[in-house]
Amino acid sequence: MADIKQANTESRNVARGLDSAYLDRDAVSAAPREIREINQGVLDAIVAVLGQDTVDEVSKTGGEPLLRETLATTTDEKADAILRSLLKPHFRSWAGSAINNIAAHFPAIMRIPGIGRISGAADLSGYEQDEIEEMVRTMSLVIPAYELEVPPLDPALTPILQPALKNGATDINSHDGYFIRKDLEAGHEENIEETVPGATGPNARRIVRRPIDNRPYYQWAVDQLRGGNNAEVEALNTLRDLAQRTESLVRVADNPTGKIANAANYIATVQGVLTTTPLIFGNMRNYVTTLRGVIGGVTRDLIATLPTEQQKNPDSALIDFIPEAKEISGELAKLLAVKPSAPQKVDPMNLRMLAMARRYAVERVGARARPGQPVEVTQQDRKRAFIRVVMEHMTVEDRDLQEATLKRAASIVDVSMWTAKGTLLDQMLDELDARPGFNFVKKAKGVLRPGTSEEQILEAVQKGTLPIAKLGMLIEELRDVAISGQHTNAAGKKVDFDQQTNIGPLVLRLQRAERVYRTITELDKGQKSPELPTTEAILKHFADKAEAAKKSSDDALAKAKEAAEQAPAGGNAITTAVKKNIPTMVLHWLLKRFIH
Amino acid sequence: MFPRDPEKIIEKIMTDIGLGFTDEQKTKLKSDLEIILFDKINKLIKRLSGRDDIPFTDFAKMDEIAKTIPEFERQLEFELVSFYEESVQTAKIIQVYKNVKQG
Repeated sequence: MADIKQANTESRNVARGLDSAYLDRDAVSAAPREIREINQGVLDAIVAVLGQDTVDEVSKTGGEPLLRETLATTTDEKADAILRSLLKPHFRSWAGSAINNIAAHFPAIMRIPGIGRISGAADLSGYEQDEIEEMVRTMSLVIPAYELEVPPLDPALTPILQPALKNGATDINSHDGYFIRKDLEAGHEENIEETVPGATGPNARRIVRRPIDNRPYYQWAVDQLRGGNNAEVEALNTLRDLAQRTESLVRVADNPTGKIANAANYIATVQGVLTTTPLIFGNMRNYVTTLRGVIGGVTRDLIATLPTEQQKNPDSALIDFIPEAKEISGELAKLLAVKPSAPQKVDPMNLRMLAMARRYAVERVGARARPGQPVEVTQQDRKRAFIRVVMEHMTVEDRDLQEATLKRAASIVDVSMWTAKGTLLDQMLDELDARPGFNFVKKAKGVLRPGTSEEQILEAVQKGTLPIAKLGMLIEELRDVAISGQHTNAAGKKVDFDQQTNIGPLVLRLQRAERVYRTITELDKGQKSPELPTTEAILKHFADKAEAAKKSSDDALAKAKEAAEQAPAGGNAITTAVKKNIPTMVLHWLLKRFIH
Repeated sequence: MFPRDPEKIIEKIMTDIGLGFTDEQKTKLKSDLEIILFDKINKLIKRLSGRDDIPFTDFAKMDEIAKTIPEFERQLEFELVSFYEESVQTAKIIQVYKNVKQG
């Protein structure tokens, strides 16, 4: 409860900061960094989106309340632009909490799909720049996470997907399965970001709704999971040959051209199969039915062209046609007997990631692709798919959080997300607790959450919940899990970790605390008194940092000294700088140049 | 009121850390903090300008380059505030360590 209380207090501070930001920048200069940054970021974003003139006009005529009202009714696109501005790299560390606060003032931001994922992540500092950009981009494109109506899965797709899913029907009906059903629903549409021809600046990109057929990507994913199967490859090759023979058969029947009225339709149907890329084994029954339908149809049409008495016994009259037609038809029927190999079982999230990675690869290659050119799924495609899928699925999992955020958008952090029971993170921590030397983990579970703040870590260390001596090994273990995506279970076996849970920021905070402790412990070893001389420790810490800073600039300094020695009497700026206390001089320069 | 003056920020850090420094310790800490902060600013200008050839000591050149960076003033403010928070946070961690040591 303390967290919520603190969050409410802080959010009130933020609100106060925001209120005054419009009117008096100086008044908020006493606020903590986060508030100041929000103010600055929001102001810049507002100006960038609405234009300085509008902001000035609104401020003049209606003041802050009117400006707020204007922003509260901004369009989704403008809200998106504000958000993009707010997620610049240096905002990362507070982006999650900031969004919750900002949302209290700009409801349009909360309409951005996927926002729940970001607002739940209290700290984005564990992400790379391109990942952040991908999140922002994805947020504009994903399906709105609050659309929770469950679309039924197309029954025709069930046999394709079910063999690849771990728990069959159960999984496809789960929350995770929701997105697969949504991806594959008839007439599925998505928001797509595209370039506006001739436009520049913020108007250069726009978001439009487009129909997307995800079926080939899922089929590809299932085929990948099935792995290589010679029988399937051979069957598809045979199908291609038989389709070509069917086309020739139609042409033989339609000789002279026009003899059969529907010949052009038959040929188009066969070519439809032949030009399908890729031909998918899971669709074999459809291909076979189509081709046998053509053979049956052309046979009937051809017989109809015979004199009546020959129609009763067409085999002898159509000696060049009937045997070939029967043979092709029979060969096609045999293809239905080929058994596919069972795909590797995965959960819906992984299946979806695979399908989306394929889609991104295909979209990336896009118009540049030559016919038949293989499309390689790169690491970047997988990364994009991972971010998208994790963001979307996480949002659904935390639907309650999202609703709570909307209702109580003023709170900085909703801790319920991090204390949810029964997650794989909990399971992993329980298993870790059972290992030798880790028996403190269960007790410390409360603070080993992705959203735990540095303050909470310090508090736990102070209380002894997180033993300092154990921090190193704990970090090592969690770091491995965060990077590899696997942890060692109670049986000593490597198993997949919950990929929806990003423990990266937690590890970073633990590392930071541990690094300082380690430094001081080293220092402490040389002390005779059991009490740590804190003043000295602080001085030592900063002296070490200063030393590192100096070291990084050694080369420049050496060059400057060299220049100073060679400079004529009276000196230039470098000479003066080297002779005097350089940092102090520069600080004065900054003071004069930029602050006053 | 949060100071915008880098020197005052350093003074505020030393005050907010809340430890009884001797005059000698204060001078040493001030000097170290100045170097750390200056290093940050030097790196900031390098990052924003995309140049790597700005010597640690050549503030005339830094001035010249910083003038061409519209974002600089704002980014500098951010650096100053984060420098303050980082420093105070480190001190807090050390304080916690001390408490743990003392049981």
